[in-house]
Amino acid sequence: MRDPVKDLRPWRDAEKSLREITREYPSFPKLIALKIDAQRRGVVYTPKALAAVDPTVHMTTVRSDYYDKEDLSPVSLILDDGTTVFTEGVLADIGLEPYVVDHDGRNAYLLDNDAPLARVSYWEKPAYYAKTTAKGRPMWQVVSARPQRLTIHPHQYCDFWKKPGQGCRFCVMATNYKAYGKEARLLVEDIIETVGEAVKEPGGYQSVFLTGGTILSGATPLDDELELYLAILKGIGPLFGGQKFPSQLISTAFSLPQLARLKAETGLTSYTADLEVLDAELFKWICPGKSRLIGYEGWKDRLAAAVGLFGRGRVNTGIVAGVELAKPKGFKSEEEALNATLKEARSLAERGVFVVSCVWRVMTGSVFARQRPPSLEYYVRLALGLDAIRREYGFLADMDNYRRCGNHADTDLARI
Amino acid sequence: MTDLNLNDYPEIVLALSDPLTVKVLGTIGSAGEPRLAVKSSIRLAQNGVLTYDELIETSRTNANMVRALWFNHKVAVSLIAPNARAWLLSGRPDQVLIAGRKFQERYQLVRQKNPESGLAAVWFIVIEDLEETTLTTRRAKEEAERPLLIHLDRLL
Ligand code: SF4
Repeated sequence: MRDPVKDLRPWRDAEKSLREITREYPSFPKLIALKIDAQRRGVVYTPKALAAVDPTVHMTTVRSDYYDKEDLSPVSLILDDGTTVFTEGVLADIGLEPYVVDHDGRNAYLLDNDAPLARVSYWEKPAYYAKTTAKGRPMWQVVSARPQRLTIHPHQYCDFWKKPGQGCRFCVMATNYKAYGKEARLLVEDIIETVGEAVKEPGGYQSVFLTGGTILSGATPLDDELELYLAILKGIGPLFGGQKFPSQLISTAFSLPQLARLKAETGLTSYTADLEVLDAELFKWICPGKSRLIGYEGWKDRLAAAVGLFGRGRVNTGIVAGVELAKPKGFKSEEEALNATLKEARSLAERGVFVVSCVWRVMTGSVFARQRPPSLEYYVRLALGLDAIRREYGFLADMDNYRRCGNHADTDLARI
Repeated sequence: MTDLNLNDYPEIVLALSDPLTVKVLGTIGSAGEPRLAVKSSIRLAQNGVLTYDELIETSRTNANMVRALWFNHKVAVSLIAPNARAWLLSGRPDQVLIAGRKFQERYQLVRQKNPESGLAAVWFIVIEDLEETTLTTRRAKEEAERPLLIHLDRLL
């Protein structure tokens, strides 16, 4: 694998291509490798590809905690196997050439070096996107949709950014919040009304997902964050007759009493608190606010406590895969980073927590905006490694599978 | 291999539209193990490819279809019409719909037929090869082309 510190050749010479990777890793699906690479490098649309967008059919607007857009380009793509390819967000210009989306009049394709590699479709727009809440808020601004998941970002700012140097170094939430002049909190009534409308769409969604920026305040730290999620989940609960419903919350790592309230008072079925990077020292450097508030070991303890409440296979932690190689404090080689990350993923699995990886999409506006993500080969090996650990420990990927978040190459592999 | 447009085969089109036709999908598992599944929803899509509704996300056939799409493996479909005419078609999964309008239309149709049911996916299979396997046709062909393969008592 590539040594990002010593290897200063142009990136195409320094890395194995998609074709080489699919030859060297025959058990790894080409479409998943393509998805990873397209997320890593980004995509651009040709005029023909943009002309094929029908804003009455395709999703072109999104409002989330890290990305807002209202132009007429597609929000994201889906491959022929149902795999999601995220193209959301503004990638920093770090010299990796993006893939090109072109259209031949019938279909859209992903191209690299002018060669078509796979047919793609644009995400479709849900019916509720055209509706407004009783308070007059367009519903698409309240709850965003992934192909099979409703996504709620009730708090669109993060308290860690209120003190200089406390926000996570890859994160763009504060930049996005300031750029769009949004309110920090959505109205709970708007959220409940929008979810109520969205779930009427037959076959539209398989899960409700909540996440947002940290809220530090409360009688004990994070109590106000907890209360916000409790209010939403309790508001949604009656839609499903008060029973548990497929749902996932990614929050700041709650304490055991806080987790116990989530479990007892709501229909939530799975819980996530993202460690972002699986190394104590790097966690301190990359996620200083989280580290100071809870600490790396404390975060892991809280995840393990959540397993006691929600069960095995219902608690995971996300990593922004690749930040462990960020300069200057990250691992010095991909081999070293991969071994350390998988070793730590295994120790989390021992405690009932499985790890899901996201591709590090280096974003404009993040502290890490001038960094470069690791090679495609690194991501392929990481996905294979995480999938193998999940199988060895008998975790189902259902809570975070290909049709929920859609952002984890490792859980995509659980389909076969 | 050239993709076939099944609209060019009117007898197959007819068989596919007959609810009494038996339709079986054959796939291969990770260790090469064969798997057959009766899929009564197999039908013709407008563009001359086959499509069917997968009701069970975790079915082995669904996983085998994903594997076939990912690694470019072939799958087979056997059709046996009520008049005993039969065909074996082979091809490759081309696309699976798990979301969007077309998926949701199909989802509603499936649930109208059976309110207990869900819908995991709508698969599309491009057919590359087909062969008529009707017993009488196969027998006549063998007798004409391989006359040495008959038992003598049948010639008395
Ligand atoms: S906790 Fe870190 S990653 Fe999450 S919103 Fe705050 S700064 Fe961003």
